[in-house]
Amino acid sequence: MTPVSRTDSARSWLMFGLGLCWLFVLLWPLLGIGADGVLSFAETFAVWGRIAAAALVCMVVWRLRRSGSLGFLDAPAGSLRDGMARVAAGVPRPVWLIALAALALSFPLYTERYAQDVAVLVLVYVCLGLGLNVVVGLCGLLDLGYIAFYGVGAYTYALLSIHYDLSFWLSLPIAACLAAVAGCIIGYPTLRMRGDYLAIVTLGFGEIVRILLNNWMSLTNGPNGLLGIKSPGIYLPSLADGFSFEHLYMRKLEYLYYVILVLAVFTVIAVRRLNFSRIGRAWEAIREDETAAEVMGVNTFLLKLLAYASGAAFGGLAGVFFAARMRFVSPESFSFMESVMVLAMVVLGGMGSIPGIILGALALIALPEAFRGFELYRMLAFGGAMTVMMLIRPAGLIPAKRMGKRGEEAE
Amino acid sequence: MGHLRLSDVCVRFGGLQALANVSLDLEPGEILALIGPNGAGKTTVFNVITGVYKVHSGSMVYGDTPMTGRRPHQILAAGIARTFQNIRLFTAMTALENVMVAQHCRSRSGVFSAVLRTRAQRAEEARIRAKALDALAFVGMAEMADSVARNLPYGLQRRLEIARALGSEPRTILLDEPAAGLNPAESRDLMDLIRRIAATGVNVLMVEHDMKVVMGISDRVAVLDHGVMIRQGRPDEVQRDPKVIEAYLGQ
Repeated sequence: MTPVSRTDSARSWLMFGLGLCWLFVLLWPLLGIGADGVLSFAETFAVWGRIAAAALVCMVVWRLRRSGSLGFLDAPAGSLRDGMARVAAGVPRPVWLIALAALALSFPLYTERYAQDVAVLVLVYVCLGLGLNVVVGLCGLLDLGYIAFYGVGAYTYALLSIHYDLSFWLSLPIAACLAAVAGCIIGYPTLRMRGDYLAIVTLGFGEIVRILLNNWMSLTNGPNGLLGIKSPGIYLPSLADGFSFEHLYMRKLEYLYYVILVLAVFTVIAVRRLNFSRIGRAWEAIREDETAAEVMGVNTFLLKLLAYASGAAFGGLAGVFFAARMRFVSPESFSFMESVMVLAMVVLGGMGSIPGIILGALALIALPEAFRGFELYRMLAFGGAMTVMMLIRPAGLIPAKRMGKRGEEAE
Repeated sequence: MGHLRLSDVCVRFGGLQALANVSLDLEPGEILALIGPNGAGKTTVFNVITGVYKVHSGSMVYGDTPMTGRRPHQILAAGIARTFQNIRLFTAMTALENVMVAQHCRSRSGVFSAVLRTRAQRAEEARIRAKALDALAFVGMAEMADSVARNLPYGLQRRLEIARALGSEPRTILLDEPAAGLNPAESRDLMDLIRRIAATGVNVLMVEHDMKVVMGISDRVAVLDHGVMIRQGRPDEVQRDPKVIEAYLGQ
């Protein structure tokens, strides 16, 4: 080992130690200060010890890799990876799609209610993430109030269902239109803003919608929420007395799973097609360089408004399903935290990348369910995961691919 | 067709007079070079023509249509395309996609036809792609169509900017320092390219500091100094004009 790399190693261990000390300082006020003002250290040390041990293992492995001591593992790992890639490339795309579809369709057959519940939630967030992706990932407009459109969709269906007994399927396009209108209303005053200012204004609008829902007692019943929303209904042909159609409400979770699966698949296809169309290219041009896009013939005003409207429409669709699934809506489902969650999925998964966002939704919804025991530290783990992501995969889990071949990517 | 006329254009930024009564005529099929010392207002002229800056007074007419006060995308749709002095490509997109964006104003399918992928929308996409490939082939970059713009070498990025401008099927093209940073061989290729563009009937207005390029290909030269048009004429006349020499070298 050369002296240079030795100082390098010493430096990284020093930083590692400092990092752990910093974590302790951060952790102790959370765990060590009791409600009655009693200070304790035992619990903090227990939690911190476990994190430190795990971090130490990661650090040792990383250092060994850096110094080349794990070089003997590289050859088998590389050949394994090559082999997997060859097998993956050998199977044609339709086979993958059919396998995926079969897995998704048969999911309720071999799972419990709990797993189905999580799957439904994941699919709702896939819809939301993809809708937000249009605004943030494609058009590059940071939107911190996206959940407002989810709320608009949910309340639209709730009110239509309760007061006018309108069916779920008819409410879908109505709610999508209303959410798109809301998107335009929120988008219009922000068209001249960029970056930080845009984020603050959209955050404000998101809160306005929530507070409106909370206080407009006569329409939304305020914080008590709205009860008595109908489930999606379908007409089934029945041969009981002659040929007639029987109306059936889909209350069972596996039916609802199929409904949201259809919605999610629709959203995936729609967003993908938009992405690789004239409109999607114009959005990406705006994200890359707004002035150049305008000079190259893109009506940036109109297209930014269109991005807000289409993103909001997808959020509205997801909202209708949410209201039908819960059969109850209240303003607290549309808090700022939800906006942050959806945005985190888009950023974590890879902005503008559809498979990335699906994976992001899976990671942020399913993983916390799997690790229910760690619920207390969810936000801590969240922050940690984001930091690690920024370091090792700054463009997201699955970065967006260009339409053609990719050249040598500059990392 | 393609006759661009600026008359008595004034632009002010606060108290600073950037352009004072600038008049300029660009005839169809002509190559006009706009020269002048740094800060003379050459790029400002470009920004006025493309609608990025608003004029304080004066007017701009293209063909028979008044263009004063139009927005940049409307001006591109009318047939005036430009490149930028410091390259402004859509860096994360491929070369082909960059040029395809320029076809935006020449196509019309919207959100719904894109989601439904109608027959008309697919036909239009195929047409946009073919036109963009043509523009790339014209500048000799057909085989780079699928590379991401950010990864192209500098000279090719400059060339891609020209392809993107051509991709909008313009009748007038404005080139802002197209030879900046190019080596002598690349400059010669560029001059050849500009001649080929003019030969297709597109008129070219360019800002350029490289006198070899300016004198080599322009039909006329216009000289700007401190926002004032001090001379327009054939290259050899302008070169000998004492006022021009003074503007460049001082008294």
